[in-house]
Amino acid sequence: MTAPAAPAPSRTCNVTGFVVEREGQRLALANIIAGFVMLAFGGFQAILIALQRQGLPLSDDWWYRLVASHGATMLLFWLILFEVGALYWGSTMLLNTRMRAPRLAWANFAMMVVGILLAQWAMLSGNATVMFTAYPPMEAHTLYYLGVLLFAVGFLLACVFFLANVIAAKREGTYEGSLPLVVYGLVAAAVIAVYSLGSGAIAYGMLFLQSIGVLETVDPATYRLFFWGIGHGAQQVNLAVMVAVWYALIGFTLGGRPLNEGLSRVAFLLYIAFIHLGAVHHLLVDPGLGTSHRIMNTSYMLYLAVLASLIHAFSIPGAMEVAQRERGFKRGLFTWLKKLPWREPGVSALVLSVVYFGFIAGTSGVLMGTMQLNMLIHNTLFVVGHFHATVVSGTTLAFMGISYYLIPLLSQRELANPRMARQQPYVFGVGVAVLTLGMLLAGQLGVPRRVADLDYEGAQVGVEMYSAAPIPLVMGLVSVGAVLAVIGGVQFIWVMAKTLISGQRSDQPDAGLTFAFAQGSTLSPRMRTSDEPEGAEPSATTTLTEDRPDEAGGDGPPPTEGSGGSGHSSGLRGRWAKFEAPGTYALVLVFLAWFVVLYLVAHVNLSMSWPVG
Amino acid sequence: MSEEPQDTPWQQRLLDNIWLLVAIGVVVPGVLYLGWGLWELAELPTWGGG
Repeated sequence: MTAPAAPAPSRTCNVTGFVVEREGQRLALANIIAGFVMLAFGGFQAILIALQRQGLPLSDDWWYRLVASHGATMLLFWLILFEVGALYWGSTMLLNTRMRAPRLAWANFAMMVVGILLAQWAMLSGNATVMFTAYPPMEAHTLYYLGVLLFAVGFLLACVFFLANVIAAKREGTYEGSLPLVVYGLVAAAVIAVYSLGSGAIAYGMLFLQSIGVLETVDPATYRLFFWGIGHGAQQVNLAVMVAVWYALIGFTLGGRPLNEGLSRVAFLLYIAFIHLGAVHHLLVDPGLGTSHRIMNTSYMLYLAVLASLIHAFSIPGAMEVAQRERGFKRGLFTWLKKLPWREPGVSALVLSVVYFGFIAGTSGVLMGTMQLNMLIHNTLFVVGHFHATVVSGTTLAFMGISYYLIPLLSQRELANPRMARQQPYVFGVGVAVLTLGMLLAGQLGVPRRVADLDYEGAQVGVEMYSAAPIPLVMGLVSVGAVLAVIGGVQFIWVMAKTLISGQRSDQPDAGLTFAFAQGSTLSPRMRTSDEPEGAEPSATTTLTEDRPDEAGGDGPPPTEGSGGSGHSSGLRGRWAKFEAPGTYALVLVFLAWFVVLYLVAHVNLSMSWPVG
Repeated sequence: MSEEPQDTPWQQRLLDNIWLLVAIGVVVPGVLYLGWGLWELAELPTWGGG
C-alpha cells in the first residue's frame, strides 16, 4: 500500500492502523455529532407523541406539529447526517486518503444545518403541518420547502465529495485491489442517493416554486411519483448504509470476512438497480398509475432487490459464524452463536439489528409490497410499525452500535461508561421490539395512522370502535415500547455526550471495547485474482487487542494469533460438514419458515376481509 | 494512477466501475419507475390541467 500522493495532516490510528487524515476526521465527527443532536431531539418528540395516547395533555394542533417534525428529524436529519459522517469516514480513513475539497464540505455542512433550522422553524411554528409526505394541495410555508431543499442538495453534494474521494484514491493507488466491502456498500448508498435526491429536488422544487408564485399548481399525482423517489429512496440509502455498517461491525468486533465477497458485491449491485422500484408500494392505491406499472415494479422487479437482502441476510450471520469457528468455537450447529461476545455493544447491536430487520421490517415490507395485502393495512399503524422496524430497530440500532467504535476512534477519547454501553442495545432493542410489534398489531386491528384523536371527540358521528378491546391494550404496548426505547436512546446519548465532552484523551482509545480488526476482513481492501484458489485464506490476521478470557474459554482452543483457524471447515461431521456455515444455513431455514407463516396469516386475513364466492 | 492487475477477473473490474454503477442506478429506476410512471400519468385526460 502506497502513501497518499498529496500528504495532508494525518496520524496513524494505534487501534486499527488506518491513516487518519485530520480534516476528514473532523468533518466525519461534526456530521455525526449533529446527527446525535437530531436523534436526541427526535427522541424527545417521540415520547411526547407516544404519551399523548395515554392522556398527556397535548393539543391536537401540537400533536400534528410534533409528528411532522419527528418524521423529518428522524427519517431525514438524524440518519442522513450520520450517513454523511460515515461516507467521509469510509472514503478517507478506510482508503488511506485525504478529504477532497474540505472547505466546500464544511460550507456544505453549514448549508445543511441552515436547512434543518428553516424546516424545523416552519414545522414547529405550525407553518408546515403537512407531515413528511407534504402532499399537495396542502401547502406549507416557503421556508419549509427551502429548508428541505437545502438539506437534500447538501446531502447530494456530500455524496459527490464521497465519490470524488473514492475515485481519487483509486487513481492515486492509496489502496490495493478492489474497494473494501464496507466502502463498496457506501458507494451503493451514494449511488442510490444520487437518483433519490434528484427525484426529491424536483418534487420539493415544484412545491417551492408554487409557494413563491412561479407555478400556479402542482399536479398531485406527478408530485407523488417524484416524492416517493426520495420518500422511499432515502430509506433505501439508509438500508445500504446499514448493511455496510453491519459488515463493518463484523470487521471491527470479530475480524470477520465475507463468506463470498463477490456475491455480496453483486447484492449491492442489485440494490443499486432495483431497490428504488419498491417505492411504488406507496402508490399501490394511487388511481393515476396503471396496474401493470404497479404490479410489475412491486411484485416482480422489486424481488430482485429482495434477493439482494436475502443474500446479505445469509452472508452477515455466515461471516460471523465462520469468524467464530476460526476462533475455535466449532462444536455443534450453534456454539459459535452462543459464544459470541454478547457483552460487546457492537455485537449485540449487530445481532438485534439484523434479526429485527429481517424478521420484522423486511417481511412486513414485502407483505406491504403485495397489492392485495397492501389494501388490508394501507394508512393504518401497520405502515408506521413497518418503518419504525426498519429505521429504528434496524438502521438506528446499527448506527448506535458502530458509534461505540467510531466515536472513540475519531475523537481520540476513551469510551465513557462502557457498562452502560453494554446494556444500551438491549434496553433500546426490547423497547423498539415492543413498540413496533404493538404498532403492527394495532394496524392489523385497523387503527389509522396520523390521527391525533382516535375517538374523534366533537365529531357529529361518534367513533367508538377504537375504544373497544383489545385496541387500548395494544396502544398501551406501543406507549410502553416507546418509553423503553427512549430510555435506551437517552443511555446512548449520555454515553456519546460524556465520551465527547469528558472522555479521557488517548492515542489508543480502545478501553472497554474489543477491536479484532484483521487483514482480509470486511474493512480492508481485498482482491481475488484469477490464479488465487477459491477459498484461500487472508494473508495475515492481526488481533489488535486480546480476546477476553470469558470469550475464549469453554469450547475449543483459544484463538491463536495469525493461525487463521481451520480454514473453511465447520468442524462438523456428516451431512452438515459440507457447509461452510451450517448454523447459518439452519437459521435461514427458520427465517424461510417464518416468511411462509406470515404470508399464510396475511392471506387468511385477506380472505376473511373479502370472502371469495 | 494505479493499474488494474492483468489477472483481475472481468466481473470484478465491472463491479468496480463506479461510473457504470451510477449509470445503472439512474437509468433503471429512471425508466421503470419514473419514465413509465410519467407516461401512464400523461395518458390521463386530466393530467397537466388538460
